[in-house]
Amino acid sequence: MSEEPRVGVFICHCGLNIAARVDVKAVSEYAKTLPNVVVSHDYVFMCSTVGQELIKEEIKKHNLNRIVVAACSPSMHEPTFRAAIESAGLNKYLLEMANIREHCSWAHSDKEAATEKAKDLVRMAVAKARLLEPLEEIEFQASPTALVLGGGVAGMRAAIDLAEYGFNVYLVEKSPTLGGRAALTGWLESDKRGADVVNNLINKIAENKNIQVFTNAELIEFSGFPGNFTAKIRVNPRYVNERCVLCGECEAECPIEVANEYQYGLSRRKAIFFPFKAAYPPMYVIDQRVCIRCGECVKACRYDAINLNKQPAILELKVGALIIATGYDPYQPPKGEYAYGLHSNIITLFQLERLLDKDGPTQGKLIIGGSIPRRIAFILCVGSRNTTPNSRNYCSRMCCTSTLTNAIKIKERYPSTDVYVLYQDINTYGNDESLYEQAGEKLVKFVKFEDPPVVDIGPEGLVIEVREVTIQEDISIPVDAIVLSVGMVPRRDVTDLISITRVSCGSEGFLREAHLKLNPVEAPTSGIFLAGAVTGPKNIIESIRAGSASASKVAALLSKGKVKAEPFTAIVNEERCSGCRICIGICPYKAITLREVDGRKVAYVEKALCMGCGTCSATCPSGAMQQYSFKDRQIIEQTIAAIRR
Amino acid sequence: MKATPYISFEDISREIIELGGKGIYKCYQCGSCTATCAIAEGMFISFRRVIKYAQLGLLDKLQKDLVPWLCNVHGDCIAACPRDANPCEILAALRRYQSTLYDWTGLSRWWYYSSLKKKLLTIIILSAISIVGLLALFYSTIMNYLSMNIFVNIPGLLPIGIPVVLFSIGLLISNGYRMYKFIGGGKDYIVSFFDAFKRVLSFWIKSENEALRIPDKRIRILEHMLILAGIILYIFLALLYLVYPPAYSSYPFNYVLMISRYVAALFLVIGAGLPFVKRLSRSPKIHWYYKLFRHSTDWVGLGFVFAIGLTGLLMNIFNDLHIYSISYVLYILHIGIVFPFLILEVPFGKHNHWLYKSIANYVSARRGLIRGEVLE
Amino acid sequence: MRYLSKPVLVVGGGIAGIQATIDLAEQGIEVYLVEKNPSIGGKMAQLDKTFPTLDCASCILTPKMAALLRYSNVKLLTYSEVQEVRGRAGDFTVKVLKKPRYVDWNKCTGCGTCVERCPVKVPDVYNVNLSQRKAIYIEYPQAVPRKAVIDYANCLRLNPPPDLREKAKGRPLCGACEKVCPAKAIDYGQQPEIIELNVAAIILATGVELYDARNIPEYGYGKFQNVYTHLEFERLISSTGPTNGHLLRRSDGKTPRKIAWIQCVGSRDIRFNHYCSAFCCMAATKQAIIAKEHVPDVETIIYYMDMRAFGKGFYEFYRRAVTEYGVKYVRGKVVKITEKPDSKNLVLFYEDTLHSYMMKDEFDMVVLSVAIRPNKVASFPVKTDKGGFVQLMDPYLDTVSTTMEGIFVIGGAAEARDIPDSVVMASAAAIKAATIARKAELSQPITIRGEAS
Repeated sequence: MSEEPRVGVFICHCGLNIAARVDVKAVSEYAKTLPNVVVSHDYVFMCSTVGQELIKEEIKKHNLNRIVVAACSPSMHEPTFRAAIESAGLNKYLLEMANIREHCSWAHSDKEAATEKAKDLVRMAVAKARLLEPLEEIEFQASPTALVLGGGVAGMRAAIDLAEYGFNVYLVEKSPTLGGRAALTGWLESDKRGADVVNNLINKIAENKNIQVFTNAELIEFSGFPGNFTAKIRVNPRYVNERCVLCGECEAECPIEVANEYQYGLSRRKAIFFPFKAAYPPMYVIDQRVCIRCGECVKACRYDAINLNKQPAILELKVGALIIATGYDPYQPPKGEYAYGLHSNIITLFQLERLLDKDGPTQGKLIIGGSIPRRIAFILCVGSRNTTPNSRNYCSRMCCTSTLTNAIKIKERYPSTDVYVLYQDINTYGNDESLYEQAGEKLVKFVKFEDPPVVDIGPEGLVIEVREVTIQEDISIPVDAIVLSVGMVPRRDVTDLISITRVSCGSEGFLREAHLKLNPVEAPTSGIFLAGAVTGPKNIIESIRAGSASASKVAALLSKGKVKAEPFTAIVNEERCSGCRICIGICPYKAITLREVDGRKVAYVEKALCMGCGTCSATCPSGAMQQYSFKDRQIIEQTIAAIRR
Repeated sequence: MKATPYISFEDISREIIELGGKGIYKCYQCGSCTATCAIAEGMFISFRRVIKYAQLGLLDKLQKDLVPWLCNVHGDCIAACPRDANPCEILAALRRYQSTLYDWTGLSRWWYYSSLKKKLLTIIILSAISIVGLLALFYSTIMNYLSMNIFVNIPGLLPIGIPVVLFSIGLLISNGYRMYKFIGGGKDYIVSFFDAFKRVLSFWIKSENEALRIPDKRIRILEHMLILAGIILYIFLALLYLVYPPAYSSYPFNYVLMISRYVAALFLVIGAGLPFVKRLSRSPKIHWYYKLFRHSTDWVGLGFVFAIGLTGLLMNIFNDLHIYSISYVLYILHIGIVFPFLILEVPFGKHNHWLYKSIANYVSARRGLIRGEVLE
Repeated sequence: MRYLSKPVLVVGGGIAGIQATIDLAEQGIEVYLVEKNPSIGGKMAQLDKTFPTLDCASCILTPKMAALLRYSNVKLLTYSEVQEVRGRAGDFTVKVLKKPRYVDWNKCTGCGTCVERCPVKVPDVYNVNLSQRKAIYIEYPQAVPRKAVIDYANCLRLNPPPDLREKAKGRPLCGACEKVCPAKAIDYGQQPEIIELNVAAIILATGVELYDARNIPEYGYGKFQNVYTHLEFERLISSTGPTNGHLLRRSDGKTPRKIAWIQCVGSRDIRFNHYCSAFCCMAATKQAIIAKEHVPDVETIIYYMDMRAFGKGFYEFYRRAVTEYGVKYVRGKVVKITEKPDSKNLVLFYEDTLHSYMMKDEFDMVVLSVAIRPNKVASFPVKTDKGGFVQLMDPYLDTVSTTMEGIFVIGGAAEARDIPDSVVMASAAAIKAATIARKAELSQPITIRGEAS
């Protein structure tokens, strides 16, 4: 650059977040002593309109051409401050942030030391700022298509909203049918079941031409950048085609029987089966993991709907954005936890919902162990809140409401059955408190525990031993059946998803959102969105809402037809490049190729694919590969500034 | 298998609801009722906890618990309850339930679960039996007195009445003894007899004094006191007649006693009659307490007192007007009501609460449940 | 940017309304954001930190507020209220009353000179009446838009009290702000304006207000000086609050050594509000933690019935409060508070239900977690439920549509909830409103007079 850098430094108090540990005034004064710093200010909330106005005014007043903002993490407000300086006429990339909150005031308690460190960080930022260059964002055409991964209620709602808005949607579902777990959820309200909700959504999908549904399909590869992703899906064969009329003759002939996961193991199904009443697409499917290819079904089918020779198909889809709505798994108690698996009358809440559902294995009759229980107990927080060694450390949010809904249902249908609910806290928040009121009116009995109850299988049946803490007594409750209200855990295959899409997850295993309060449906990776229980336990309404919200974010990203990418790509100094090809092999995104320039073979970076990871420029032995905004000189100066006071 | 105490579980929801505690499952155990209660403030007890025992059907614990009898029915808990569960009435239902447990004959149980119609029918039948019996035995005696134009208590009534009274009180005391044993009387005593007596008295005086400051509670306490005073006075007058009949004719005592007879009767009529009047009144000034649900045993209990008082009052009036024929009719009616009162109500009905309460207060005081110091 | 759609109206400038506006603006839809207060921000702007991340509320809110100003397709109509709504989905005619602010917002720069000179002091609603503001005021320093407003009722010039008016014998009083305003922006003669908008869809984000704790006299709120609501406490611990973030109590200005939080005040209570207010268990936990950060040896006790820590990160936050910060939790509903006349300390009456006897405890300061009530939405043709919340047509199908097609409801107006849920609802409504707006045909061009955004 030809012009002399004129740096403005702006220190934020962040309320008391920074100011409590760092003497911001002292840092501001110190900044004034640094070379090329023209002005230095501090303010309580630099990201607010007032703070931003201050920055803009100072730029105009003092002809500043480089800005340093010492505040929170750039991941929070770098875009804010970039937009602010852009509106003042500066190139938005002439900003450098010093993180004196997460890296300083939040990490240290010694005020003097923290202040000194803050000064160091500001000095480093100024050193880099002096060497910043103006850059331009790269614009790409955006594909007006979205890929929704997961055909549960969240995914379906997102697909419908996007399709109605005008986008094309690929809805990819791993299992043979749409509907997810909500289709198996029983009663939600007195007259509505999960299956009814799913029905409504499936009808809307079936009649919308903008949505293309792929069931029995998995995502196997995912690459690209926002607006221009390439997704490879493998559509596994169902071996049954649309000539199927659901007559069921094939099923009758099939010799293989396995536990039916669509009834949570309460009944059995054949290798060729139809998942449930409202399943979509409405045709049978063969579970290829257990099918022995005997051919009996083919013989039985009168409509020529079965073809055992179908092969999987690989499809490449070009999409602008991805919505991950793959849902959750119910917590499966290990054998012996609350005696689960040791007695047939101990079931999970999910299994109970199947029993009460009129489309369930008992047509809605509460028959457990062959009879209607005279006394049934629900144990809450199974698998959640650290109750047992195998439990997770979070609350699964939906189990209290679900349990009370089912308890009320049982009392309504079987008034002489005694219902107990063993709980730690009853989390019927918001308007759901009315369920707690109703449960009382229906004579449901509540037992509060702190230490988890112990289930004994005695000669006379099941006995639950628990310390009821509001009466401070150890009591033993003889029951006929126990329902374990299990929580939600991340899906077993979420690790595959993480490695394919490179999204991240939290310590509990659920996918992490960009910001818990402000961006709960966006992944930190641009262009990828998260909807429903994949980010954490939610009930059906909350999942559906998150589906719509993620659709909204996709619409915001793609509606302009163009997508902008940050310009921090790698750039080759072609004169210095020796064509050694080390960078080509090392690039994780396959963005570098070799091309001929003036008779020599040199590296070339495809900007569209470059993610700005910096691996190539770090590896380049000749220093020919540099990265915009992280050039060698910039980093060296910053490092020297770090150690030299 | 871990050895834990097995506490019996029953579903007593239906019983408690029938006995008037219909709000019992509304309770979500917040503790507001205990926190507002002046009694709970002065004792180491919890009314909420016994409601939980009942919710879960822990019969053993319920049978042993004396806490429901410590309630003085101030009614503060009713307004404090955020679920409108009416803890006061739930406790009353628990008292009724416990009464059915204490009674060894089973008649209490039968009495409490009978409908109002059944109760009234029973009373009418018992009254009819006693009236018919009276007439059969003493018709000629009465005719004799009437012809002599005098009114006296029939002496032949005594050898019949006294055994009935003794029987009634005996049953009552036997139930009281059972209660004493159930609640573990005699065990875990840490306070001496005299200390306990002092503590109960001072605590009772203090809490009732505080309640007397509030106008509507004052009226309810006075109504209750009227009934209590009326009954005590009535018993005293009856005993006096048994032991020393000349007192009724010697001057000046006869005037004092005559006034006392009227006072006793009036106390009973007013004390027991006012709640009826208030219940039926549509005036908006009536306190909401009078409009709340009351079990049929409560109404019958009050009804007995009122009827005894009324017949007694009218009897005295017609006596002093010297219209002895009507006096004797009222006299027969009076005895006709006292008989089922003694047979049914005293040992098995609402009226035995004074005994159970006294035992509960005594035992709780000796167990040191009354807080010694003022809670700061 | 060309708008290929009819505009959408967002009513309410709290976090939900702001998020919906941003999403709509990003989708290229023209948005009118109507807010009845002079500035957007809502309740979130009054918070110090948010749970469970302990992010500072202003830090995450103000950038969103500032972002709104950058969109050319967003028109802010603050200090305005919707009077009437007619029509149907795709074609609503809305009458908006632009209340007179007696300041020309095209000229006002938000410098604050007028505020310094104004002689009238009145309780400051932003600080929940814990401090005072002037009759001419800027709502709070980070207000968007940062413009002055004159509070008619308290202005000496516009609404002089009768006795002073007589003494002045017809001459106008005060006028200090007009004299000192460097931009000559004061306009005492400003009239209310009715603006008519034709919009395709409406998003209700009217939010909540706090239930008046004076309706529950047992807690002594309003009588006892050291009894606060949780919003008042939030202002106390905020660095921009009436005590600059120092935890000092009202009666004697001293730092409290023992603070109690009482949960479910007016919530879960059929005498007041049946529903649960959802956020207060976590808010109390957060406030107790922040109190400990301000005053490390302060004793903090939270009196609860059920500890509702149901959201992402909530239960871990609650356990942290117990194990790391030493916040105490007592299960028992506090039923009554009395005051000690000399020390002005407070005595709480409750039953410790996990030990089964009645207790009394003395505290320097008590914070009531009062219920929230939805703001009234009378001008809108939507149905509300018993609690006053706007009813959803079919919560399972659409999750944000009200009983009137084309009108959506988000945030606290729909149900008691916290910030992440409100934000998700806002985005959900945005795409549905945008879909309606894109389908609707553009009728006559919209013109509005008013301030520049």
